[in-house]
Amino acid sequence: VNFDRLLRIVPAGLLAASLYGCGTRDDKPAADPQVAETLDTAPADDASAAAPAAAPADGGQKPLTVADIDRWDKGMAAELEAVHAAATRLDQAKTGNDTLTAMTDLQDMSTLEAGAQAAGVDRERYNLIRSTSRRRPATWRRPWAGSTLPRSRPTSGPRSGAGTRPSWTR
Amino acid sequence: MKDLVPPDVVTALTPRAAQLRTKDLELVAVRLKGAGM
Repeated sequence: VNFDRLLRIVPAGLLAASLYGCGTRDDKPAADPQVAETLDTAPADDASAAAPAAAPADGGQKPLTVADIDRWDKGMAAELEAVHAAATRLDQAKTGNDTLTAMTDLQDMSTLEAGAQAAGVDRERYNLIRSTSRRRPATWRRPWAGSTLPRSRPTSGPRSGAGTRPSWTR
Repeated sequence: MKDLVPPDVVTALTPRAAQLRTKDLELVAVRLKGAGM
């Protein structure tokens, strides 16, 4: 087995797996909507100027705000720079260890820190902003919202079901 | 999800969705290209 070839294939598989999972659902419970309203009224400049250390510990659990859109934009730019830097390091890697390190730095979770720092929030919060904002708007609503299917049993028609039962069950 | 994305955020994000989406896809593409895929 060619060890150099293996060194490139295994991290590539890990990278593909992590990219596949980067848009998965966050199972954390939603925060109080009143908290979100309070955050929405805050000016964006103040929010973006907040240092990561000043961010609340449960920042990842609060709903997204309008200011988070700009945070995501800034975070993506920083992540792009980090990825370019890691790609350069990968090209210049001379040992297997260098290759593995650079491949790891390319991954989604490795550039999270750079994005969070540029966005001015902690890692958990930035991860929530990133994973939520990546989804298409259609998936932001509940699957049954706006559906034409009836949510409950129709009020008209036979209620006992006697008229709708197949003949072989009578 | 509706609890995570309030309507005003959706309204603010919609006009920039294409630009942000492109940027996000560019990031994914650079990752893959950097990994040699």
